[in-house]
Amino acid sequence: MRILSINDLTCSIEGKTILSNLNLNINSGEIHAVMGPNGVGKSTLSKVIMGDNHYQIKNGTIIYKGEDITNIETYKRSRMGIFLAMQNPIAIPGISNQDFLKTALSAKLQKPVGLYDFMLKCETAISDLKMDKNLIHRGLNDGFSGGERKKNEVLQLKILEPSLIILDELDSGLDVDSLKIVSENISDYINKNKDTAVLIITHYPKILQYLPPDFVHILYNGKIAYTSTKELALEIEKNGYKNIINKSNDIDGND
Amino acid sequence: MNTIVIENNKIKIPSKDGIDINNNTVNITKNKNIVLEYCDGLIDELKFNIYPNVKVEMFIFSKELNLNSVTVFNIFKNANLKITKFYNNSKTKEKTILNLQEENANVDYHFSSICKQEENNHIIINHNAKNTISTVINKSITIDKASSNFIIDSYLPKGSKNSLISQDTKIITLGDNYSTIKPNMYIEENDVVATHGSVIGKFSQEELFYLASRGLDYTASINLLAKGFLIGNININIRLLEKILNEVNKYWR
Repeated sequence: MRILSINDLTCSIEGKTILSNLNLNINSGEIHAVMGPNGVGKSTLSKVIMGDNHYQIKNGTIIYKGEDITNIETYKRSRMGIFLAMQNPIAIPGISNQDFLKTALSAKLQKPVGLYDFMLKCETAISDLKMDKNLIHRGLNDGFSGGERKKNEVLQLKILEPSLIILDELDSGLDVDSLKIVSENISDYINKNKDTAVLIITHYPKILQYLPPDFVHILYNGKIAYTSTKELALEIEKNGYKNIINKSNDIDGND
Repeated sequence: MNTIVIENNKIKIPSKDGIDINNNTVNITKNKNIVLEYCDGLIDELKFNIYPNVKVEMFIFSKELNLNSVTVFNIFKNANLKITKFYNNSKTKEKTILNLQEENANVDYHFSSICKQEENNHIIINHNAKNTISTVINKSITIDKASSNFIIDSYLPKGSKNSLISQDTKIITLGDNYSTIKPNMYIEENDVVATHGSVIGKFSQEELFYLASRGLDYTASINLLAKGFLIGNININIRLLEKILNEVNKYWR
């Protein structure tokens, strides 16, 4: 089943084109990685899929599970099952992590969530992620370390149970042990939810060892310039992007 | 917990252990947790003296009033005053004077308010001795046509060295009127650490996007952000927090 289909997507911010005629297809159960030099639009891609209205869509469509979501609000995309684990999750003091998560889950399910079931689910997920139990009672990401924030993103993921997971540089700010823990949690989630698709945006191949991708894409000049298998990530780590970009095969996405 | 009620222009207090009242002057001679509640809006100048080596935590609460008040706090040697204040008034015109009178006096002032019509807050902090610390954090949300205005004046004369001054004021405008913040620091001493921040604006697009990305629509997001903004500035016990939540929930449930 086709989970996500991005067709000829062109978008800009403040008059500057970031993505240009980008094509990308992701099927259920697949893991895709997007890599590329700094500033080529990797995070933009993740935010545009999530519906960040800072970016103007000039052309193209984003189809999620057969439905055109190009002009759908962010909160509806989330409720439809798209989850973006953000590179820099913001802190909101005064809103407890627990209240926030419960409100988010109620919004997604469109019905009130029972406190007992919710807390049970939270406690299990917190234990799996080896998080400090007190973090659930603190303000949302308030005073959290970089690693705790990333774990908190994965906690939200486990509670909200999405069908399309976008990980925007989840590995930044995580030590090796924490990266292993969050990756194993995501891997476990994927194994239990076989139709879930994952889009990993990263600079480093380490996370791809834990979450091996079916495809690795190189984003350059606003489009997918090259697509290959997971070995590509290791080649990039060894030789950088220059050779890859030079032999760009002009593949726009994959089918 | 001592509760001081201001009613009919009079101070009412059930227990006077460690608290001495002389006209409109309240002398606090022992460590205390105090609740100060305004039951009508027009009062004369109210003065609190925090005696040396005394720690006072004071929660000040007012709702649905046209409050017009002047409150003076004199904080003496090694004394520590923590003020947590929450207003949900129709109108507020208030002058608060924090006098750090002697060495090692310390004041921590946290004010959150829902501004429905107009509020004018003038906060004056006088660092009259060395090694004194003042932290002033104001957070206000204006709704409809309301206007919130703050003047914060910190004075530190020559000789009050090794002191810390911090001012931080943020107004979220949910309506369409203007608001002002005038942060002033009059410092004549070199050996001082001073920080200030002043922001007037809406909740950030970044915050709204984050909440939307978790399935919260605009209304639910504003409800959460408003609560977090006002309550994040407050650190008090559950019973008093419920008092504030009752007010906040009237607008952002």
